[in-house]
Amino acid sequence: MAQCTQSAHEFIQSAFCPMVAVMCSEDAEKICQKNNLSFVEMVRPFCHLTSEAHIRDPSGVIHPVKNWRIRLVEMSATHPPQHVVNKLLSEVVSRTQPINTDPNSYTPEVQVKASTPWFEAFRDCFFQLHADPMNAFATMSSQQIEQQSEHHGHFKWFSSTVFKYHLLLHDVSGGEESKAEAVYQSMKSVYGQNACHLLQINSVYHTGSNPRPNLPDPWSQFIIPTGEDSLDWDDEEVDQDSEAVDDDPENCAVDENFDPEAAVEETDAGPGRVRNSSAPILIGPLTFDEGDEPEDKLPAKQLPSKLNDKHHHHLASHYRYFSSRHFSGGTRGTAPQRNHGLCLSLSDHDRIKIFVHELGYRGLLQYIEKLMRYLNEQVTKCPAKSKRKPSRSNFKILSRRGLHRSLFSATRKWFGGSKPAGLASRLVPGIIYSSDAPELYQRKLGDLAFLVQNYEFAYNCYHTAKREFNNEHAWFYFAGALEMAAVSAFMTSQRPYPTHYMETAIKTYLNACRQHQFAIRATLLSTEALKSRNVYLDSALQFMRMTAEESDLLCALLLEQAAHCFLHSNPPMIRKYAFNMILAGHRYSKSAQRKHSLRCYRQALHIYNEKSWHLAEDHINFTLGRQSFNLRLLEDAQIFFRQLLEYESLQEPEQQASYLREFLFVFKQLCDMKQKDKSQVNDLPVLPLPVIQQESTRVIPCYQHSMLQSKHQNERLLDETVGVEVFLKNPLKIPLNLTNLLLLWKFTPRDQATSVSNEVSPRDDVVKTEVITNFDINGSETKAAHFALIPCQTGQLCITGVKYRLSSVAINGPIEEKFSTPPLTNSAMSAVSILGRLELEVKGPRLNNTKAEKTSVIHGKDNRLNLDVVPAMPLLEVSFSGFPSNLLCNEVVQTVAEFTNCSDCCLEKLYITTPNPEFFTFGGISSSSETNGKASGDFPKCKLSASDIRRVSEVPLPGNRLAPGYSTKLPVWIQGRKKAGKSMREVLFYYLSSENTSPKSYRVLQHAFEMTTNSSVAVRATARRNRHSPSSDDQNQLIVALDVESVVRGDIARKFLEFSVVQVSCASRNWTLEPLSHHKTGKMSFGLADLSSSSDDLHFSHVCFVKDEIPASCSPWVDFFFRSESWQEQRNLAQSQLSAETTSYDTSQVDIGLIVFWQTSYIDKDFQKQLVNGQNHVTISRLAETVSAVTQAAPVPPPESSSSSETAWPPSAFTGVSNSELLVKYSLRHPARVQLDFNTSRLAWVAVELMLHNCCSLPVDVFVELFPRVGNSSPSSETSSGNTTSEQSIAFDSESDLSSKPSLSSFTWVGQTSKRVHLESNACSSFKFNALISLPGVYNMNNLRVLAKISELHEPGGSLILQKPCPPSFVVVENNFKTHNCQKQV
Amino acid sequence: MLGNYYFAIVGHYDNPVFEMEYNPTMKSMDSSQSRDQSYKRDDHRHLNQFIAHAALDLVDETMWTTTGMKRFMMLHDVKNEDGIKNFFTDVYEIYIKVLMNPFYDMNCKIESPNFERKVQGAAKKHLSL
Repeated sequence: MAQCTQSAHEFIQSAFCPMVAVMCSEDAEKICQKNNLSFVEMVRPFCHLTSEAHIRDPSGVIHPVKNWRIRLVEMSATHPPQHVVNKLLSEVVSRTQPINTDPNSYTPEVQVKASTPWFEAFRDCFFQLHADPMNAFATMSSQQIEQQSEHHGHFKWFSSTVFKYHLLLHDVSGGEESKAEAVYQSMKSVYGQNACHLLQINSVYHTGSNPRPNLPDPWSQFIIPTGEDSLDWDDEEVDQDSEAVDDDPENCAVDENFDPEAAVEETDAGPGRVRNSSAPILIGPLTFDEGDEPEDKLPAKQLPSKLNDKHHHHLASHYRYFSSRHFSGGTRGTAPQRNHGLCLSLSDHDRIKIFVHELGYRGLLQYIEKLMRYLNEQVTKCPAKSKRKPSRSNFKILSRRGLHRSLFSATRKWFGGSKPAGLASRLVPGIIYSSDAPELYQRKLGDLAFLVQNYEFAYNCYHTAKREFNNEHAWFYFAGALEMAAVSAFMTSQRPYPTHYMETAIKTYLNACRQHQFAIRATLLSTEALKSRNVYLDSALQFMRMTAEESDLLCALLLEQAAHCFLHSNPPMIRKYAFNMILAGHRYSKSAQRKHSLRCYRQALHIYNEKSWHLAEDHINFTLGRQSFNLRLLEDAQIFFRQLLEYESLQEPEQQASYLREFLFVFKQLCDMKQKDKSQVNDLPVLPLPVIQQESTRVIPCYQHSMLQSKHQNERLLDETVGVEVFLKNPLKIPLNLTNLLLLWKFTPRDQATSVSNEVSPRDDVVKTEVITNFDINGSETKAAHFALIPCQTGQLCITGVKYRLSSVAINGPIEEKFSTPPLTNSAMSAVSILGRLELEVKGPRLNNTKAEKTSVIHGKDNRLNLDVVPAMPLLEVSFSGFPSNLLCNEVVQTVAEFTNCSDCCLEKLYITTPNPEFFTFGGISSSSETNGKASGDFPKCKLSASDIRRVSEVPLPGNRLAPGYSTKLPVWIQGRKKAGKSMREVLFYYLSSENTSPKSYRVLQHAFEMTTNSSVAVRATARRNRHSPSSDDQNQLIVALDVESVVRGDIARKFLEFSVVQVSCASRNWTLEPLSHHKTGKMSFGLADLSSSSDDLHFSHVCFVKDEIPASCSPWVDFFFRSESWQEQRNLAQSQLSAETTSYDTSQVDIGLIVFWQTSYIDKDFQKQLVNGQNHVTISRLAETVSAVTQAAPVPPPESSSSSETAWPPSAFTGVSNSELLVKYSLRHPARVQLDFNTSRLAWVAVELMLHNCCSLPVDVFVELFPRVGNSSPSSETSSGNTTSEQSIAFDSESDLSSKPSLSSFTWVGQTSKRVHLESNACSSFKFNALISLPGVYNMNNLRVLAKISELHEPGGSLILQKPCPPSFVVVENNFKTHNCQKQV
Repeated sequence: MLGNYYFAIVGHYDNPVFEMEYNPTMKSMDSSQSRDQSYKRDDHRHLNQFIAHAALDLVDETMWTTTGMKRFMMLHDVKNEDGIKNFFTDVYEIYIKVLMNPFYDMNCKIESPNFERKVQGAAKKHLSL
């Protein structure tokens, strides 16, 4: 239970106080109405008696009475029927709203201290309306209204004898005092001293024009009893609204007392006189009295009917009153201005106070004392055991028509014990007593004692009564007695609070009597008592027990109080508090208390928030949104609905769709409202959907591949497109439809301070903004949106957000359906779309330098969306016409590149760079060298340095510049990769603006080609010394064996049937190429002649097999050669030779680069023969080696692994061949054929001459050893022992296997079989050996080995090293038959 | 009788770490019926959360010690104390295994499908009596 302003004691005292019925004559009422107050209202502020009085209890003990209250109630007031009561109660609650609507006040911490004034208001009102406070077992008066046939009032009187108090009102401003005094004197003589009073009022003459604010206003607190009415209700009441709630049931009836007769009479009456209210003037002023006698049964014959009429009339007016006053709009403009009590002076106030004091202490208290004594006697005299027939009595407290003084027929406390006759028909178990039944004496005594604050005595009385009622099974009375016993026990403050009394009372009310109202009253009392004893949990349980009630309002109030109780309990049960708040909010909303419902839910939301009970949160947010919307709190509603969409929802798609619809609808209304207010028109609302993935946002330079590079990364060029990629995420399960997406930007032109934005209107003059008309995101999808901007001025461009229209068009179905919707419905649907924005807020990397940055999360600045628009730069576009994507390996294709300058600036210094410079050439580099070569005659040459290929090369633009708008075409040659497979070729163009005004920045254009290459031909070359040339200067000749193999496979092989070698060119510093032989088998031999002029110049020599010689030394062919790996190899070798010239003795190294041009053809679709050209490069760097230009790939070459194997071989191959193995070249001379008739001679004698040639520039010691005859092993073992090349080809091996066929024992050396010689540098020498052969056959004469070492003079300590053997040399021995053949080729 | 169960593991900050609704009747029904049923259930899904959350007060009051303030809450409409007890024991074991995962943050939502499957299995074993 929340904190209350009243303490429990105060509350109970004020709930149970003596009530006095007031009956006013019309005159009196009129006088009071001068103050805009009824009599009751006028007196009300003074009803709290602050002075202390004493009363004697029946046993004679004096007992103090403090802070006594009297409640005055209009006698004629009817008790409203139940539904009016309900309406009233709900009105009270809805009017009383929390003062503080700050959202922070909804947290449970604040709520602990919060009060619930609406509950107190409700409680007060409840007590005034429902309960005769003293009469626990009295039933609702409302039920009585219909049943009063004989009873004129519906009140229950305490006893049949009623104490009456008479008041004479005197209007000072208009009446004669003497006359009033005279009347008063006569009254006194009739009614006695203590029962009469003369009250003078209206001593101020009030014109109505000038209020007198300096007077204290005791009414104000009653006018707005809740203190503050901070919520502005448009249909707010006139200022007395709250009082109306309290008192109107009473005073509304007063107006009806007016009758025409009185009006007529009024004119006759003297001014200021207390007027006659009724027609028979004949009755003198002093004759008014009879009617007030209680015994007077019937003052006038016509009265009953009249009264009944009147009463119905009252009732009717009553309803009218409520309906008109509370629910029709009035203005409360006069609220701050006081318009009541204006005729009352301060002394009038004092006089009223005196009157109330007199009434209370002189009249009432003494009467109560007397009555108590009487009752006590009765109780002790005849215990209420015996049941007597209840005696009924009628009371008639009427305003007689004879009254012509204003008569305050102050009567009785109302606490009567009677229950209405009608009640008997209802289901009430137990006994019903009449109002005067002696059984009730005990109880009445208790009531009286309680009233005069003698709680101890009251408790005893109640206790006794309780037992008696229990014995007689008068459950209703029993419960009442129990309840009051508990309350008085609580009020004594000495006894422990008997909780079980109250429990039993409530149970009895509920179960035995079905009197919910009383049960509720008991609950309210009990919980208050428990609260003051700090037993919050019990209190909460009591509240919750009553929530089975059918009245939603009541339930809501009780649930809310229960929630507060949980909050106050120790430890605080905050989650139960939240749950009960939700329930209360639910019940509030059912009882149309929207504000309270809203508040409850908001309080609960504070508990549930951010704990990821998403379904619960959804429910709360949705309800809050609905309630806020119903209360026209659109802003709040929007916030709540937005929250439904923000986190990842667990709801079904249908539910999400409806959430989105609601949100859009509310948002739309909000925007419309704002637009009406003309406020914030310029501010686009931020929408919750979709979600931008901020970190993925990036600026794409352009849609072209051109990029601007500069020191400032964020520079963008004028008039060129800036692309922005924004990733939008749809967290919902339903598709979203966005329309008219565009980027929002802020642009600050150069030299200006003010910035322009396109938030409201598109400013295409500043920055052209592309609009995406339709953008759909499916449920749970993340999609990138690409925006384009074209800045038209230089300055700072800052991209701030995305503007779009979010609509619910596609919510209900798949996106496809939207397209099928007819345009008519489209217009209706667009009504639910909302124009809004999303902010782009990119964060930089998280900082981690300072301590503050480490301990918290601080992100650096990110400028990726802040662009600097700089003046225009040239813009290059390059297009290749017919760029080949499918090539054969090493195929050369010519294509055309077109360079266009699309901008308004001149372009210059165009460079191209690529990581793979070998794949293309523009030609033109060696055009100069070509002319040189031709000029110099025999062999075209070019400088070694000219072959330097760098990755960056200048594009040979004519004039080295490109004017704006112009384009140039240049031929480009492309060569396929060496290896088969797919590859990416990337190029980058770099260029500058030729204008000085542009900042020092350059631009680049990137392009990547994808090329697929298919294997074509493999070329291998081997060079060895010519050992068989007839002349003796053969040391200057090399024989090159070129092995060309077609390695095309699959479809390509079917397409390209035949490859032909059209030309072989040689690039070397020392050697020229000469044709030797040409075999169709794909093997060629060439002779190389030594130029014997070592220079830096590279000589090209060609052997051409077709008519037109290809100028291989010219571009583009030479370019590809220079870019090839072969050339790299060759050049490295050349350079190492140049650097190590002095000490080198390596004779095996040569620098021969071969370019093999090949051609093939295919038949295209049009049956045209298409020629395909290609060139392979191969380098020979070592003699007697087979050098492979293309590693012979496996049948299906894996493209990547082959490259690694390729890179693996060169070092191992070359380190394997030691230079010292090639010191000496040797060859054998012998006849190729020997014919002998073995029949005549058994042995053939073959003379073999061994030629030794020192190939190095130093003297050499040579040792020659002939193998013995068994040593004539197979040549294969010989070559493997030589271990010279790892690149021995298979073809070579198979050829040399021939030698193993003849019988080995048929061959033997004869004569000297070893020899040691010394050879000078480059010297030659020859030796002769003899061999004997016993059988015809083919014999390998190379059955010897040569070991050599550099002579001791030059390199001491060297050992003899086996020299690289020469190929096998065969002799054919025939039996009597002669042939002649060349034995070998390689 | 087949009951409806709502099981939740509640973390230190009263946040649901894991939630599961178990309704054994669902499987036996044909699709249209279960669809209706599920819609009907959807209307009250939030009530499960409300009730489980509110009940935490009582749980905290009754418990005398907790490890990591993790609470297993079971909302059920039929009496099945043994089954629930066994279910809790099983789930506790599964849950401990989740906790031992070094990549699992305490008080974070358990999103492991494996865990969910195992809990479903435990529910099937103990709750569908």
